[in-house]
Amino acid sequence: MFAITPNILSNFMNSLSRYIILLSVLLISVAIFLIIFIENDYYQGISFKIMFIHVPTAWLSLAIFLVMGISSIIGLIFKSPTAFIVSRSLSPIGLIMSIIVLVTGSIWGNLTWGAYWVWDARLTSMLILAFIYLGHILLLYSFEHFQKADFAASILAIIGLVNLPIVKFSVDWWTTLHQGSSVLRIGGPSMTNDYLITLFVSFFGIFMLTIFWFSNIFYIIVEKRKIERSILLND
Amino acid sequence: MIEVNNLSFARGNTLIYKNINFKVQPGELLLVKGANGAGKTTLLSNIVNFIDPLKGSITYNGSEIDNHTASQSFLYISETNFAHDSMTLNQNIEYWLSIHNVKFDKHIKEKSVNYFFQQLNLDKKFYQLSFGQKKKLQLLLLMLVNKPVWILDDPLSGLDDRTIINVNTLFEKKLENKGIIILTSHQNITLNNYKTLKLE
Amino acid sequence: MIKNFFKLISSEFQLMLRGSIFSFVLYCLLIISCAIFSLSLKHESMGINAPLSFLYIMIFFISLFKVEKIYSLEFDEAKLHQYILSPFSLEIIVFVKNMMIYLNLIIFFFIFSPLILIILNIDLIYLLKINILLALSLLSIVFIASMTASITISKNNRLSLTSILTLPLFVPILIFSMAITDLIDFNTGKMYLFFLAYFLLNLAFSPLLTSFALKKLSV
Repeated sequence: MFAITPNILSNFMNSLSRYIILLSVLLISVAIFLIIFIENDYYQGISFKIMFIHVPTAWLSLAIFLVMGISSIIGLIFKSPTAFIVSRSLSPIGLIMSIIVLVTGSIWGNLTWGAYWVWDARLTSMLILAFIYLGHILLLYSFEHFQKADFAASILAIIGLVNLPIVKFSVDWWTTLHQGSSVLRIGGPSMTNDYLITLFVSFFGIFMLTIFWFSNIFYIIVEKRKIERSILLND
Repeated sequence: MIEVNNLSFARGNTLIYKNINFKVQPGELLLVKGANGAGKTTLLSNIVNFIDPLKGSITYNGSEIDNHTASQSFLYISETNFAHDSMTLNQNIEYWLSIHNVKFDKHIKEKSVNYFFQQLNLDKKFYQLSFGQKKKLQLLLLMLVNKPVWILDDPLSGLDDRTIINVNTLFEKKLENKGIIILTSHQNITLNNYKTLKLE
Repeated sequence: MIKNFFKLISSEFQLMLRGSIFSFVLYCLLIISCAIFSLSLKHESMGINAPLSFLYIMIFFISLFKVEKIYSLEFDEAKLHQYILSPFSLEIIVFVKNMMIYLNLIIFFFIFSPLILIILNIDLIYLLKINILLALSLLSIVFIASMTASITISKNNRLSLTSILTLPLFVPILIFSMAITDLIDFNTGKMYLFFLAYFLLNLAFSPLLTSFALKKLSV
C-alpha cells in the first residue's frame, strides 16, 4: 500500500479530476436549488438555512484533520513521501473549511442566540482546530528544507490529533449552549427527510469540491518537486 | 569495513555532493579533504546515519548502517564542543562516560588525562578552559570509549604541536588494533600511509 | 548499564540544580506580575477564579520558557550527536531531562506558593489543593512543552517563535485548569483522575515525538 508514489496518486487523481468537478458543480447546484425552495424552520425562520453550509463544512474540517493526522503517522513510520504531501496539501483546505465553519456559525449564533461568540466547548474546540491548522501551515513554511518541515508539521498534526478528542470531550463537562447532534445519533436522525436530503446533497457537493481542490494542490506540489529534483540531479 | 556506494546528498534543493565511492578496510585511515563548504561534515554525519542520503548506500561489515549499529560501533567527535559549560571537568568526564555506558575506572582516567593535559586541575569549570584545552577534552573520549570505528570532524584544529603528535600516536595504535578511522582535517597527518578522499 | 543510568540521573540532577538560578529569576517575575495584577485590581472583590486563572497562565508561560531554555542549552547539535550515539536511547534521556525540569519547577512552586497566594488574596486553606493540582497539571505541561521546544530549537527553523503557534496544544490542560477553578470546592477525585490520565497519555507520546523531532530536525 505504501508503494504508492506521489506520481501515481497525482496522475490517478488528475485523470479523474474533470469528472469530480462536474459532479461537484451538479451537486452544488442541486443543493442551492433545494435550499432556496425548502420551507423555513418554524422557530428559526430563514436563518436556519445557514445549516446547509455550516454542518457539511464542520464535518469536513474534522474529517480532513483526521486524514491529515493518519497520513502524518503513516509518513513518519514508513517515511512515505506521498503521505507527507497528502497532509501538506490538505492543511490549507482544512483551514479554510474551519474558518467557514466559524464565520457561518457565529452569524447563525448571532441570529438565534443573540451573540456572535460564546465560550462553549464545541466552539472552543473548533477554534483550536483552526489554530492547529494555522500552526501546521506556518510550521511547513518556517523550515528551509521541505523534508524537515514535513517532519515537524506531522509531529504537530499527531499531537493535535491526540488533543482534539480531549478538547471535544471536555465540552461535555461544561453545560453547553450548542445544540446536540441531530444527524449522527443513536435512534436515527431527528430531522425530517427533506432537510436531511438537502443536507446530504450539499455535503457531497462540498466534499467533491474539496477532493477536486485537494487533487489540484497535490498535483502542483508533485510537479514542483519533480522539476526541482530533475534540476538537482542533472546539474 | 565501511563501504560507500554512489552516495549523493542534497539539503533542501541544493546538491552538496554526488556519486561518492570509497572503501575503508580495518586498519586503514581515510582523510577527507576539501574546501570549506565542500560537504566534509555532511559526509561524516551521513556515514553515522544522523541524516539520510538522497541516493546511494553506506554499509558497515556488509549491513546497512542504522541507529543501532551506529551506537554500537561508532564514536563520533564533532567540530563544536559538547561539554556542559556549568559543570567541572571531572563532572563532565563522568557525565559523558555514563552517557556512553563506559565502566568508570579511576586509574585509566588519570592516565588518559595525563597523556593529554600533563598537569591540570580537574575541578576547574569547563568555561574557564581555553579553546585548545576544550578540544583536548573532546579527544579524551578517544582514549576512554572503546569502539571500533572513529569518525572525527576536524580533530586537529587548535591543538599545539605536542598534542598533535600525541593524537597521531593514538591513531597509529588504533590502526594497529584493526580499527577504522575516518577524519576531516586541513592539517596534514604524520602517518605513513593513509587514503585521501577529495571533495569538490 | 544500570549503574551508569543512576550515575546519569545523578549528573542530570546536579545539572538541574545548577540551572535553578534561572527558575528563581522566572519565579521572581511571577511574583512581580502577580503583585501588579492584584495591585491593579485592589478595589475589586475578585473571588478565587480570576487570580487562579492568572496564576495558571503565568505558570504555563514560565514552564514554556524554562523548557525551551533547557532544551536549547542541553540539546545543541554537538551534545545531540553524543546522545544519539549513546547506548541509552534518546527517549530515556529526554524523559530524565523532562522529569528534572519538572522537579525544579515544582519545588520552586512549593517554596513560593504561600507567598503567591498571599499576594493574590487567595485563602490559605486552598494551599494544599492548589499545590496538588499544579503538581499534576505541570507534569503534562512540561511534557507537551518539550515537544514544542524540540520543534522550535531546530537550527533549520526560520521562525524561532514557533512555540507560540503550538499554544493550542496546551489548551486541554488549560481548559481543565479553568474548569477546576470553577469547582475548587469539589469533593470528587474526577479531575485529579483526568490529570493523571492525560499525563499518562503524554508520557507515552511525548518522549517518542520529542526525541524523534530532535533527531530529525536538529542534526
